[in-house]
Amino acid sequence: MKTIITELLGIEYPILQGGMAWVANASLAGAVSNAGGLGIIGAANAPVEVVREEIRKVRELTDKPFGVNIMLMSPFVDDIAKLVIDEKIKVVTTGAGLPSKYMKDWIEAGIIVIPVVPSCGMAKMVQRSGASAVIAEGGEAGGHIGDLNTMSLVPQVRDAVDIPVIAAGGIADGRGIAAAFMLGASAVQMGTRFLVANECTIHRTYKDKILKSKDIDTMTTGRKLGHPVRALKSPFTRAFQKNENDTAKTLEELEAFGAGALRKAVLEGDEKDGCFMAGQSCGLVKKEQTAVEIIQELMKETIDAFNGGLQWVK
Amino acid sequence: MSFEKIAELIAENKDMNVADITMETTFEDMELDSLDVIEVVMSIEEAFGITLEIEDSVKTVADLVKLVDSLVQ
Repeated sequence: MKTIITELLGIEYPILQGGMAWVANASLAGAVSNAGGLGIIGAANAPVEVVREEIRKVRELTDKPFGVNIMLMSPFVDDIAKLVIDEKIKVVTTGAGLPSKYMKDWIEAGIIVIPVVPSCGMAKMVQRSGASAVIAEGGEAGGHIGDLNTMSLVPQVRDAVDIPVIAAGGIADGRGIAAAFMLGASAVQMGTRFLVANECTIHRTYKDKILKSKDIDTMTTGRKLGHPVRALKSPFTRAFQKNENDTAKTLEELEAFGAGALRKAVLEGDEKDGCFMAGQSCGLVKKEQTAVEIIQELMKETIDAFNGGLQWVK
Repeated sequence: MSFEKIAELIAENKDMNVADITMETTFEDMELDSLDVIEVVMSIEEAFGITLEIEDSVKTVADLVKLVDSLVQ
């Protein structure tokens, strides 16, 4: 399926895999790229050597395009910003802030920059700084999220900028992809669906929780800290919420309580202290498949959804 | 005077009373989150015909006025 995004990125299908912290490693990114989507390594809070190693591993797995997601609040962000230039990365996506100060260097180095944006203002700002496209991510998504939902955000961002828009948040099947196109997107980014890809190396317990989860099984915590996180309801999220409602707790104590919880979920499957980040689409994710199977199924469903677009109209 | 214009732009953007905005007012006082700041910055840029790079050190209206003044010469 060709769109302006597949042509820009040199990929076969308009599907990007989210740069999920601790999750989006070489194994998953390489598999998604080999399947014709855009695999993305999540640099998250990792130091430069770790990210370099993952980049090199992806290159052993695939000769197709892949990207690196840079989390702008990382303590290593300056080093990672340089690393993607040194490693001649083709595509960089960014999250958790405005990447303006790095964009000139990246663009000069020929990198395609695609920031994740939660508002029209930010979309306009990054367009001005030279972004090739934006990922408009709604609050249905897992992990760190904005306030607007995908249904409202995507068409408003579409109207606010001239560059292509990629929709994210709440999309886990072909119906979601077709709907995103109707809203003005020319590709989608998905995270939760890829959590259960065979090539995704997260803990068995994490995958089982996703497969078992229903529509109402996620919640957001951390609004008080100014950066809300969506995750599966768990002993950790309930304890976090309790702390958040406890006026005696300082913001520092709250931050400290959350630190390391995602790592515990991904690496150890720690059901008590782990934070199992997931989007609201988790209830749509019912089976484990290879990245190839996931993308082939998504594309077939998308075409079916387009062709059946008028099925409910009398 | 850039202060009056900036205060006016913030008030208009965030639906505030312009009289409540002084040089000492912080973004935090006005409950502007990072996305609100972007909106305000863009309206200032348009009004003054400049491009602002907002750093973390910009925390008050006075910081903003100083930054704008340094660019409008």
